[in-house]
Amino acid sequence: MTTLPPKRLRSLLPHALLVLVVAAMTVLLFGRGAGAATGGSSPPTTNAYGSSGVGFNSPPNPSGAAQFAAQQAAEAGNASAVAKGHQMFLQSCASCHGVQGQGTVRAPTIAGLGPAAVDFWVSTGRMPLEIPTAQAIRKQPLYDEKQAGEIAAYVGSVAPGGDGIPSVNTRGADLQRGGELFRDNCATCHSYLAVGGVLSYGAFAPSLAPDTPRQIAEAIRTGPGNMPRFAASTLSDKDVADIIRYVGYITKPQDHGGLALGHIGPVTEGLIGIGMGVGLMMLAAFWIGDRA
Amino acid sequence: MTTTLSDRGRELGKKTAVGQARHLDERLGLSGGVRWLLNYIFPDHWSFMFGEIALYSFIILIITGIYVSLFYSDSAREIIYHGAYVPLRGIHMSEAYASTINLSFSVRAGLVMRQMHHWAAVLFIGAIGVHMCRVFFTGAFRRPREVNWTIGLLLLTMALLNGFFGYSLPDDLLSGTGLRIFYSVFESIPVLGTWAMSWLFGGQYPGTPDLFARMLVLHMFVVPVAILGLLTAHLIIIMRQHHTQFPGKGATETNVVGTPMWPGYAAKSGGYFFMTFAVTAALGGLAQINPIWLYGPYIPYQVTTYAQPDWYVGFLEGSLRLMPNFETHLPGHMIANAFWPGVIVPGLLMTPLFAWPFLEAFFTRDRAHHNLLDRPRDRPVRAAIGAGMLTFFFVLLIAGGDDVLTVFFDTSIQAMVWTLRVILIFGPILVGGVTYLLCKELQAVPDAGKRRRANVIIRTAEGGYAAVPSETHPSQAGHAELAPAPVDEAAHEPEPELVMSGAPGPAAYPSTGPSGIPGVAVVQREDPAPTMRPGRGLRRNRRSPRNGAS
Amino acid sequence: MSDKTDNGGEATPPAPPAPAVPPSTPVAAPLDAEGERWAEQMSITSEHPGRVEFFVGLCFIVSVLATIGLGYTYAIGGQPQAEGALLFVIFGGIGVGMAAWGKYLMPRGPFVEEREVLTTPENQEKFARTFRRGQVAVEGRRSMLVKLFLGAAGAMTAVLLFPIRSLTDKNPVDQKYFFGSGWKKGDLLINEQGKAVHVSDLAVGDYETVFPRGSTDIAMDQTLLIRVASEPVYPPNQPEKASWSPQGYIAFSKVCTHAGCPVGQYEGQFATLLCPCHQSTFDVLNGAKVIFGPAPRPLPQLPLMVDDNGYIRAASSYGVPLGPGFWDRGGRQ
Repeated sequence: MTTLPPKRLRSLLPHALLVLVVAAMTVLLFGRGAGAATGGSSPPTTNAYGSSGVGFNSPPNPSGAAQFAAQQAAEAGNASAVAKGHQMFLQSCASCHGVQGQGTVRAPTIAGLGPAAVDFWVSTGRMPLEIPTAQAIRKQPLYDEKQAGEIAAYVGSVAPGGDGIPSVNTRGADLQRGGELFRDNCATCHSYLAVGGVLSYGAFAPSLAPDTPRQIAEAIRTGPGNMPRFAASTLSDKDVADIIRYVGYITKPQDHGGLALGHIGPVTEGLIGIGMGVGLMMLAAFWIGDRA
Repeated sequence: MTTTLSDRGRELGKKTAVGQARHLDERLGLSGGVRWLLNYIFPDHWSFMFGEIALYSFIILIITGIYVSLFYSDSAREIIYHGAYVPLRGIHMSEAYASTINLSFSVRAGLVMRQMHHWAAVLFIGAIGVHMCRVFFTGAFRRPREVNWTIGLLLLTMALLNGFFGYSLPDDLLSGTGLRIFYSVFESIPVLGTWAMSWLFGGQYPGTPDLFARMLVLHMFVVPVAILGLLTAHLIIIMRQHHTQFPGKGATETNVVGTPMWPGYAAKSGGYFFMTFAVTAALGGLAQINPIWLYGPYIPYQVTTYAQPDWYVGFLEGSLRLMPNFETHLPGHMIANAFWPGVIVPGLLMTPLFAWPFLEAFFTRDRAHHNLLDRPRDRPVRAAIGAGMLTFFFVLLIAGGDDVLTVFFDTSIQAMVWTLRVILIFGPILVGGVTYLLCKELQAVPDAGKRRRANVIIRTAEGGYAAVPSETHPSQAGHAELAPAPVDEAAHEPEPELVMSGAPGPAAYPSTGPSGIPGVAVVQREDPAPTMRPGRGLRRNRRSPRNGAS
Repeated sequence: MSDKTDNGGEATPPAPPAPAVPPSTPVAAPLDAEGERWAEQMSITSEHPGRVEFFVGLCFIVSVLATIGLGYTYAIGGQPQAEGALLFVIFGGIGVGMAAWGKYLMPRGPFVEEREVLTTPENQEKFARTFRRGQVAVEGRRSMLVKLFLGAAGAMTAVLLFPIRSLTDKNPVDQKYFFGSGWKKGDLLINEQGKAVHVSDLAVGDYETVFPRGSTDIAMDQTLLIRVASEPVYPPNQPEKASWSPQGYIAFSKVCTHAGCPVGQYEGQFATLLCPCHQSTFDVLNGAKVIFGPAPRPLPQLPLMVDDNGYIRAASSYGVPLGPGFWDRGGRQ
């Protein structure tokens, strides 16, 4: 007479699959930072991209003025850089921002934004914008650093203003002070481990893991999107360097406790605890006990 | 037959052990009671082990908790950290926080013990939850077990509270934010709220520097003692009433069929304890939980996003997030918004739970003793209402992490909140309805859920094909066919004579008559009767004609 | 109870006709049907005890090896993941071994026992009779003593609760403490670094957290200072508040009116403040009115002014109690 393999083992399979699914879901969460934001209701602003004009046409940062002036002088003098930038600008930016960067119905003005802002948006790949979303997302940059600088030179030559590209030196930066400053100013949006966070209407504070020190400094000084702008009188250049050093640490933390579970906190911890912990124990009970 | 040295050693050991046991018994008189305990029958069904997960998690909490508390300092005094964790060196922090950092980095095995403690708490409350669901959906709370159900709910509440205080002790940024919310929610209680919080915290938030000392007393002593007391009562009541059991296999309202405590269940349950410990240890070492060094010390004007409490408080968090923003104004007074999601909603969840045995008895007019359980499908209304309440709880729990979900689904927080509000209202109704219909369907199919024998296709001698049911698996063969045997060996084995030398006089052994414990007779026995010895020769061949297998 | 001559559980030859007595059983008398059934139920569960015994033994041996590993790990300084994994093997080995032993190498059963009767009317009658022994102590005049005793016990219980009040010397009747804040007219705004804020410090779109000088209660005094624009910002229907935000500097209490979390997320583009705890959203350009989320009231605004040296100061204290609502708060702001 033929006998089949133990039904006991076979009927454990669905339950094991369940545990696997929970684990897989957690891994998905773990691998997922703040992604592209789509949909959602629109915020109460003046145009489709949410710009109310506040913050874009601001007076230049006093302490950055000297730096910028020197840079501008160097760049304005570099006619070929401006010319190359002009070409790339016409190709990728003018259709929305206007030929002179004066803004159109599709995009705000970028006049007076400054090289730092232009470099930030272009080198992180956020611009040129691929899909109109609630918030521009970081993607593979279309232009490299040099090209971004050329575009910035062109924009600067047409409409001067704004912060110059900061130079960041994290040697000798204070890791501990950077942590304090980060928790004071940044953790509230970007989370304690810079994995990002949620804002209103589909906007979000992105993860800082892919950012270079220069991009972080540019973001701090120019306040892209919903981010506040921190002037040098609020956060000095040394403060910024300290913060950048700390960000460098927390984006690659040593997780002494084991698997970080996405660094999101109790949400994933609870999922694992119930799914894996209680789940495994339930499986064990299923093995030890009898069925009805 | 020749006796070897090891034989004689064994004999000697046995005599010593038995002698010691007699020693104790003459002084404490335990043999009757312990024998009752050893004969106590546990039902075999796997769902009865969920409560044990909770029990063993609690024991693990005590063990790891004692260790962790040896290193914790409950002082809120501000110091400057100069320890092993570099990114916090030179930072101002409370001694409570510093001591926890110290335990995590400067104490060998400290981090594992701390994480085990936290994971055990997560498991503890999760296990209470699944246990409570098992008890609810099978109707084990019915008379005479209403008191025990109430005790269980009190245990759940206290476990929740203790977990909250426990993870607030390290004074880190995340738990400090939670403390602030705790204060606000409870101060919103009309009339007494501000007074109660003022007393507990020592004034307006953040209160007295003694706060951690107060929380430590509550977390280490007051609540655990209450839990221990209630847990002991819980177990005593269970044993006094005996477990409930599923129908079938000779189970009736007046008996219990299953495995006796000794040796079967002691081994299984003891093994289960170690397995719980193993899973907790694996989590404690391999999965990071509550990495306070990354959160930073609690500073009242700092906050981090993804500010969630531990999962078991998550339903309150979700409740706070989903509640619309209204506030109730009375002349000269106010019922703050946080009162409704923070106090009334958990009240709405807990009140029907506490009242359930009495509600069900009232509505079903069923006030009889019940020792046999229902299959959930046999009570569709109860199952539907239970499923609805669970859905409500789970939607609130998910809403507690709605910002994480917003990122996961690439949407806006506004859309997420509104979606969850809709699901919160309609979800329980939907799930309850579907559960009701499912139960009705399952009831209609008599064999639903039963293991069926598969059909095996064989070739007959004539060359045709026929389907025959397969054989039952050998491990299943015995149970269905053997009627349960009374566990009391006295009914089966002849009373042997006392063969041990040096037996004390008759005073220590009053009689061989009734022990006074119903159902348990006093029997003195030296060696187990020969029929008890397991092993070869007594196991019947499963395929012999006697067992009916063809 | 292992047999030294255990042959590993080979199947015995089919039993001879009744009474079926296995050859190795050293019992003189033959077993009857019930005795046989009992013997069956006392036999162990497993079909292949040898395999299970090997498995259980292996579990325990592996556990011991892991214990040695753990000892070594601890000795060389400890490592959390190794400790956790080894503890898993140690406990898991013992646990799985014990559980397998208990499941497969134990008397098969099933066993049954009768439930004890919980109580009988006789028991209850006896109890009532015993209790009534105390009747004589409370008869007649002595029933008054019972009432007096209950009164004394009740009073004692009430009095024993008094020390609870000593848990704090700050009770909600202390209006100044619970309803006020550390801010008063003329206070300089001190930021987290301890510096007083000057009107030239913040660029448009910048913000920081400020406190009154000498604040003893940073948890409630914490205030957000935002430079929204270069000109005063005020709600359209409240032009009198224009003086509260000189040169575009506007200050709101950082304590969320919902549950007290610091409202740290300033969204520059939307000009809104978002609280990370429960996502209450406040419209900065409109007096921190609540536009989304569970917060029931706008954030209280601190009127500002610029002094002669250009430093920003509080023009007055907050007009309303800060933070979440509570019973005695009253009012509508």
